[in-house]
Amino acid sequence: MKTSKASSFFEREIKPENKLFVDNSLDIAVEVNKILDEYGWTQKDLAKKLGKSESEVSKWLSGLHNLTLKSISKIEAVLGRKIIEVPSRGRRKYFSDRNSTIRVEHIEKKSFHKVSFEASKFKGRSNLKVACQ
Amino acid sequence: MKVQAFPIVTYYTIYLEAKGVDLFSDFIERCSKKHPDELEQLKRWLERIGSEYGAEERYFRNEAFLGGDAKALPPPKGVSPIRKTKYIEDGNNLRLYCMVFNRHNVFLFNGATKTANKAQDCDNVYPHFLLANQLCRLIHTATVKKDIRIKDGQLEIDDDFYLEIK
Repeated sequence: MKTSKASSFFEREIKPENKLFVDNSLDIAVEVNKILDEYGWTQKDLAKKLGKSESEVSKWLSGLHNLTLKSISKIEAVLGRKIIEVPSRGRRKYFSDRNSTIRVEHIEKKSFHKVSFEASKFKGRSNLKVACQ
Repeated sequence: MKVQAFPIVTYYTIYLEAKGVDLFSDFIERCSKKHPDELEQLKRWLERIGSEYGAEERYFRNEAFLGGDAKALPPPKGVSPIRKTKYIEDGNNLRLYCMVFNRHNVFLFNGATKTANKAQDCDNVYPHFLLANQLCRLIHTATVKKDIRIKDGQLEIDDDFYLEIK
């Protein structure tokens, strides 16, 4: 069987914006599904709470949908949890806390994650706890 | 035929001898000019599903069953597991039909841009939808007959094996 466009399809370079679009959309879908699993909810349950059809929510969480900020906000409101966070907001949240607990969510096998802090930022804060699971 | 193997998912497609082309290549060829961005997004999606998440049911959309037609899906009762036609669709209604064999193996078929509410009302996708359903049934039957087997997580298919589409 001769090779074809299918075989070379995955070798193509793609535009950064297309890569990022899918990465963001899929990351959000994965995060929402993770929370649904935690809550013991189905996508159907989420759809009901959002007042949407199951089909529409399924589309939203496919990883290829162009979610609006409004839709993301509605999902966050229903779940009671943030799904997305901008980097500067996240940094401010950590550094403003007197007692900060940092949870390391993903520890990959065969690799270390070094967590290092600039001492000056934590001056006077003696109760810094670092929790690793 | 195998298209690409990722750490978690291996993608396959079906070669149509009569047309001298495989279904997924035909899809790529037709969509490259009209939907280049959507195709790139699909590529990235397949990569991430293949490398990180696996072919979880939740990321593939269920296809509607043909109403009132006994020959359409689902496969005969009593035979498990039930394999349904799925599709991957981007926000612009570019739809690629596929079959999620299991979490580690996916068949990519063909597709087009859906322009009507239901696949069966859309001239673009309907032929691909029909063929995808046929292929799902044939692949399922071939699995039961052990013409398609699983070996070390991937599908094992004899080189001279054919699916006959009637």
